[in-house]
Amino acid sequence: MTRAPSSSPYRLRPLAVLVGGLLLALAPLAPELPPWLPPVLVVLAGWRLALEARRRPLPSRWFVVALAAAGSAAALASGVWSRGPRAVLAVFVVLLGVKLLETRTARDRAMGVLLGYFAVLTTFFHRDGLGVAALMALAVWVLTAALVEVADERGARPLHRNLVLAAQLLAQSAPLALALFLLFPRLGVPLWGAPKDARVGRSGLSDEMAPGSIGRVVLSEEVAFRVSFDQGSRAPGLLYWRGPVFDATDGTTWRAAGGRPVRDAASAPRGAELVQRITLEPGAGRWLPALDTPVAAPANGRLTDTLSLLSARPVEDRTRYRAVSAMPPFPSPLSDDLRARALQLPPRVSPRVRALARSLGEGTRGGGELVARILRHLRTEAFFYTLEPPVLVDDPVDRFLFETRRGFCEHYAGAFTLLARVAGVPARVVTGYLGGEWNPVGEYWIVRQSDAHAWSEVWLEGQGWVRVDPTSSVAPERVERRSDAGGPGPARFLPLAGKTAGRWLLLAWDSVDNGWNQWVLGYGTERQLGLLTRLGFSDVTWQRLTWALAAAVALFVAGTTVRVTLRLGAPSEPAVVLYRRYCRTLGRRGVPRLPHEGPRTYARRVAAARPAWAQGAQRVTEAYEALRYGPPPADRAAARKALGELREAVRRMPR
Amino acid sequence: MARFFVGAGPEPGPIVLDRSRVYILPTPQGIALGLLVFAMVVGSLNFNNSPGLLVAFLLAGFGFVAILHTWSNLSGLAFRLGRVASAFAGEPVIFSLRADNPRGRPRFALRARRAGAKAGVFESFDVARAGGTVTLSVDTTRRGPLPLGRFTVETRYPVGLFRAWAHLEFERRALVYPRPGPPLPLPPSPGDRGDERGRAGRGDDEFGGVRAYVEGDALRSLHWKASARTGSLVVKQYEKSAGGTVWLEWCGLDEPGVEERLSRLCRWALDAHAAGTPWGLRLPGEELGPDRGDDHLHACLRALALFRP
Repeated sequence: MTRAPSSSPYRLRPLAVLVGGLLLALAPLAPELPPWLPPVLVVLAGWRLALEARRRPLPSRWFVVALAAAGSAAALASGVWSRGPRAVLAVFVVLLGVKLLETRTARDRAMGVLLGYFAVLTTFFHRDGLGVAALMALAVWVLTAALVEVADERGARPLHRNLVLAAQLLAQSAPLALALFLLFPRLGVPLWGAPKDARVGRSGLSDEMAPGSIGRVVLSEEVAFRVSFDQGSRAPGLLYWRGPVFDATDGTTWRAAGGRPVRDAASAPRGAELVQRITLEPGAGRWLPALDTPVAAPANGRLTDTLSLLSARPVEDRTRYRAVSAMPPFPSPLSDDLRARALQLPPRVSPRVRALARSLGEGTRGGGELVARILRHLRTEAFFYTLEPPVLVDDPVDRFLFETRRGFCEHYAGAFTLLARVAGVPARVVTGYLGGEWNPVGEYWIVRQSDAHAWSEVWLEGQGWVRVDPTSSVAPERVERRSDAGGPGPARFLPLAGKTAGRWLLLAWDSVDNGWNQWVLGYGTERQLGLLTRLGFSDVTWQRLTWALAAAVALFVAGTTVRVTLRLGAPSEPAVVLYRRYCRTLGRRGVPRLPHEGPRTYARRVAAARPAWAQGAQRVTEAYEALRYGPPPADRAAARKALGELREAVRRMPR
Repeated sequence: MARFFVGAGPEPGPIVLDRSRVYILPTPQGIALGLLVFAMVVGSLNFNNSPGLLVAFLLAGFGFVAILHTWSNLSGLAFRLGRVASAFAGEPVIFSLRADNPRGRPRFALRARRAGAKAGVFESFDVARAGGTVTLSVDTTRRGPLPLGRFTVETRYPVGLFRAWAHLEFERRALVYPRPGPPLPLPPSPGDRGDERGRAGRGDDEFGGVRAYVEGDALRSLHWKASARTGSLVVKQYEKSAGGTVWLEWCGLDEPGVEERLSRLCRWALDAHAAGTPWGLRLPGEELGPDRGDDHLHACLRALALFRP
């Protein structure tokens, strides 16, 4: 009764595994933390490991407390210029790092592992991509291995075996995790409010079109949303995804004037509707893009009178919605209010612009001809498409049309709309996305922020709102290129053939990521009900769900118990089985092995009792001892040979 | 229920840890994991965080799997007592506990402790496929047969979240010899009665060198300095004395109490043994020897240990 666990407190390996797991769990949080914190954390961890390796005492309690206080204060100070929840996160990370410095006993280390599990959860609250999930799976594995390392208090097992054991333990837990995940009832309404970070610095469609605003968006390769079309809905040739519509202008900036909700576009043609399932990444605003032109509001949003979809709440999480669109144009009445808004002019329109509009509109019959003339003007005059246009100050439309003549979609859409209005045709600016990339692996469209686009809409008598894309007059390839990515249909594999293997891998990854988004991140009440219905449960209620859950848990408990304990009961080695057979045989013949007897003692007693068996018993005992206690055989063949010798020796014993 | 707290009472052994003997409860870390999982589930449900929920449920399953593995790290072992060394009162009795592993699956990080010992006091051991041995000790205060008492074998392996344990109590007892008294000269042997009396003890104590320790050597004959120097146990050897038989007699001792007399005789027995002369022991109703050697010594010490006035 001498050894206390603290008598040899220095064990580098479990601590190193623990530190590794913690750093893995926290790695994806680095961008959320004050920039000084990740290096400080790594230094603290390195220091702690160095103390362990050199068997030095840990810093005094006062030092640790002072460090924790100073670190927390610094983290909170960093929080002043970032946001509240981030400051809390930073304090958590500081305390975790300082905690390492007073991790002394096995119990401390086990608690460190639990903190690591909590860090994994914290990471998932901030990052939820598939890559992060893979990293977190690794972190949970390493942390669990640290738990095994700590429990293996004599350090009797090599590290790789503890890693394998941790993987086995987690694999055995996985079925229960899956059953609980699929069947555990979800909350419809949160119990308490969500502390959300405003997603700062994320690009996306904004609530106004100022010079250069789309130019910034198109620089981002981030995914804006993914779309799959319902069966029977075929994507049209040109994919214009409609976002916010702007009808108010001050000459520089375009904004949405009204946006009053309507139930649906009453005049939309029935029957030819395109149904899309859209998964929108969280962005800056509340707009829900949909194929031009959405005609009905989704469950979680509404349709404005300018036919845009607006979410009921700001889009802070990845959002799924079903959108129903009709191909424009379709006849629709123009209310006085909408007409007034579509003809509103900025307070100051330069004489040159007025003169140009007048000359283009002279002698035209109807708006259609005017549109054609403006487009021809843009095409025939020396206008150039560039993403790096000269900066335009005061009266950008005038300067663009008569001086610089270089710009991209927002310049052309803005200038076109203003010219149409001055000439008396109701017009407005539509922003959204154009095109997208067809993912043949997952069979859906990927639309990126770089696909952001702006175009115009004019209202023509008898036709309703007609889409006009003035950019296509200047840079037709700009519009066509966007739509050459293939699509569902007979020709869809042709573009793919030209793609490189790297591109194909990226698309495959994106479709795995999308599956993760849909089936793990998006797994909620709706999907749960869908799954159970597909499994044959009709009329799913809470009670039935609970029963199903209880049944699954019971099944898991019984199955795992049997598996783990049966493995325990089974004789593990053929050598033992053979030796037992030999003992049973001799026992039947009157020389049973006594419980306390080792093989050699037994063999001696057998030899004394039945001299005729002495040689055989000797052979069995030697072969058995060599197999069980001798050096491990060099290879499989040697092992088989040794076992064969034992089997032969046992067989030769008298029956 | 009584088994849960105090075990099944003394048994002859081997004691097989079957289903009904192995108990299991969570450790503080296990309880902490339970609370953590609960908090993770509630938090993830509230914020509708699917991966968080997945991790929480994985840890819940992990907790259950940990019960099975911890339990099966102890279950199925068969314990029996190995060699139980005798000791002098005041010295610990050292004995070995042998774990047979009929199922042949190696076990790790087991602990054996005396029932009621402080939390941090235990012997840690592993059990290989072929079995394992742990050496334990029990403190002694008085001579006589000593029940080894109840032991707990326990394990927290493989994850430290649960503690499985079983009680062991064996019938076999250790024998505790009387505490050797303060050194005093041996009674004179018939051969050198008279004026040489004072020399007898000292003269035969001539140091004759050391030899390696073999099991059965008295602890007192260890040459501690030499052992520490060489790193292996060595015992002092004394020149065999050519003197006559020494009789160690109960009657005529100065000490008033029984235990003091036994201590005196114990000391003399050890000295006489070390001296190498033939010696004998006379107790009321019993006479041993004269003889020499380890067997004789132990027979005499045993008689002293079990003596009843």
